[in-house]
Amino acid sequence: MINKPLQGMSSKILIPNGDQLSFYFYEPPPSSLLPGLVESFGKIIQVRSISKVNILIGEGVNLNTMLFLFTLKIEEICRSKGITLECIIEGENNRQLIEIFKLQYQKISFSQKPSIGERKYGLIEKLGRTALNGLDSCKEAFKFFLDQISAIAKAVVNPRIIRWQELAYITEQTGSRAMPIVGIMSFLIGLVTAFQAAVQLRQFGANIFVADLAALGLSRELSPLITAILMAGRTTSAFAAEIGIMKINEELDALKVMNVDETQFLIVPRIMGALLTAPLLTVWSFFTGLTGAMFVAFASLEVTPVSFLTEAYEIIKMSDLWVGFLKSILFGLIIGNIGCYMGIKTAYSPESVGRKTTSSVVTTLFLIIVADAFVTVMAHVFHW
Amino acid sequence: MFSTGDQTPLAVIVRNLSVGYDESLILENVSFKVEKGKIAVILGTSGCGKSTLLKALIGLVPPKSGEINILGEEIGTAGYPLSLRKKMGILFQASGLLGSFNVFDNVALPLRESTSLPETWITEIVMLKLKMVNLEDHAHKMPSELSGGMKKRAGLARALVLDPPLLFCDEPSAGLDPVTAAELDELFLSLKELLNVTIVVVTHELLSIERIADRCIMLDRSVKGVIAEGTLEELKVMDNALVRAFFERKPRFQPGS
Repeated sequence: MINKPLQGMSSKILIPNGDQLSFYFYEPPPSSLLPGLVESFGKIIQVRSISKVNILIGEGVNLNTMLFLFTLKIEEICRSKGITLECIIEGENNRQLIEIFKLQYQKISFSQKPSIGERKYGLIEKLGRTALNGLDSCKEAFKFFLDQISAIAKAVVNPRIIRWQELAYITEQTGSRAMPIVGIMSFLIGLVTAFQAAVQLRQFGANIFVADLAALGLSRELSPLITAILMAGRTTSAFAAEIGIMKINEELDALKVMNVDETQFLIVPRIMGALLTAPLLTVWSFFTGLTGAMFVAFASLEVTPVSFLTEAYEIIKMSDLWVGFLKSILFGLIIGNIGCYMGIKTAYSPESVGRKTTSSVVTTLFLIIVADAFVTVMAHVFHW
Repeated sequence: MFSTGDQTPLAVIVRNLSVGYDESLILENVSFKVEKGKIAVILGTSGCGKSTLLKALIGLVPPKSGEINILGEEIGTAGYPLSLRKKMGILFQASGLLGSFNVFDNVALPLRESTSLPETWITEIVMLKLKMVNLEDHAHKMPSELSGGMKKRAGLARALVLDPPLLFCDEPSAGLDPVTAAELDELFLSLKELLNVTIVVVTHELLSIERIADRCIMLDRSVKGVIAEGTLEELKVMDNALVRAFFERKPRFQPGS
């Protein structure tokens, strides 16, 4: 027989009584209390000899997972120490629960912990795996690149398969809508470059050469680069996210099942759009940049716009324009391809969209700088 | 997380509730009650505002006017009491699992956020809940690796992990095979009988309604609100054409006519 706690003692849960120990739950205990209770119980039975443990759950307390776990843990400790456990559950509501409670005893054991996480590899194995994975993804990306080139070639040979409407839309999105930002950026960069040069040039009275500097610098280097960097931020990320989310929404699978070539349907218009807009935006960037430089030349170097333009026209050779054009074409190819590739490689989770979008921008920027260096070195070697 | 046995027998009271987005009202003057420890089914054809009503009940859409009382707490146009959120579990239609967490962490999230239990206890509670929905072998999987039914069950385990006295489910059996759907129904029934959980289910699955419903609340687009309320038997003998069409699975308009 268990002694019920006296009036006013209901707040006390753990009550020792001779060689017996009783837990009283006459009101719902706060859940954070129970783990500590189990811990102190474990300590108590080490210092006191206990022969019997009672758990009494009152009428107003609904049995729930926490109380069940608590009872389970106490039972486990009691069993290992050879202590008898009596569990009394009061109340109409809880009567039927006793059976379930008892049933759960037999059913559930926590001997097996959940297996969480993946296999762990050693340092060297990890290094090797990373290297091999990197190599594989490089190979895959290169193959994708070649596939797209051939797909574009196919579309050029047979223009009927091009989705002109989509191409026009993408050209608008990546091209005309980028014009304000590209224009402002180029204008400011032309302005800043000319300002920096102005200080030096004025010392030698070589004011007119600001036109040479701006024209050559912009046409060969700055305009393609500014345009490409902005397009990496605006266009590559948009392509990757668009295609990635289409993949998650099973739109790509639907296309495949409907026997629609996803390359021609989605990717070719995007890459062609980027290929088309990159040189056009570069030209736009060249002229706005030149305007910025001309502004500074007029305002602080006393070079009139007419003499500025005449000087710029004389210094620029066809080869300078060709190098700039070549770069912009290469950059456009990189921007379109990486964006679409990362979109296609997205896994079926929202997190992956974010990761691939980030990685598309970073990879594009990296490849743009690599391609830029390559073309510049080649131009130097072959005296372009 | 312990549910006290307070004496009001009603878990949900809705009075003259109007809900809508922007200018348009989707529900107008809706009133109904759900008793404690019962399963109430909100049913109706597509687009009748079932999901909107549920969203209003769980505080995702603020009501335009009217009152909601959940477990004795008033929810007006002012806002949603945070303490109430801990007392209710919600199973979303698309399960609402976080894609960047695995199943275990998804289910453990409410415990980690709103209790101060040690990690060993959290592990055991989560595994207990996953066992309840037969997912204990899939604890380490990411949601993207689960089938539709498994996602739903994982969502249910997460909804139940705090032992809420009130459970809301948005179309629990949509997209599930009949066996899994039946298992889910049995789970609802045992939750009701054993743990005295009040359950509000939004569904239009007739078989499921027949098995679990203590009370049906039928909505319709034409009146932007409740057209019938009562037990399933009462609804089935009602003389309302819309109610009859629902239970007899009759099309409202014939194709081609």
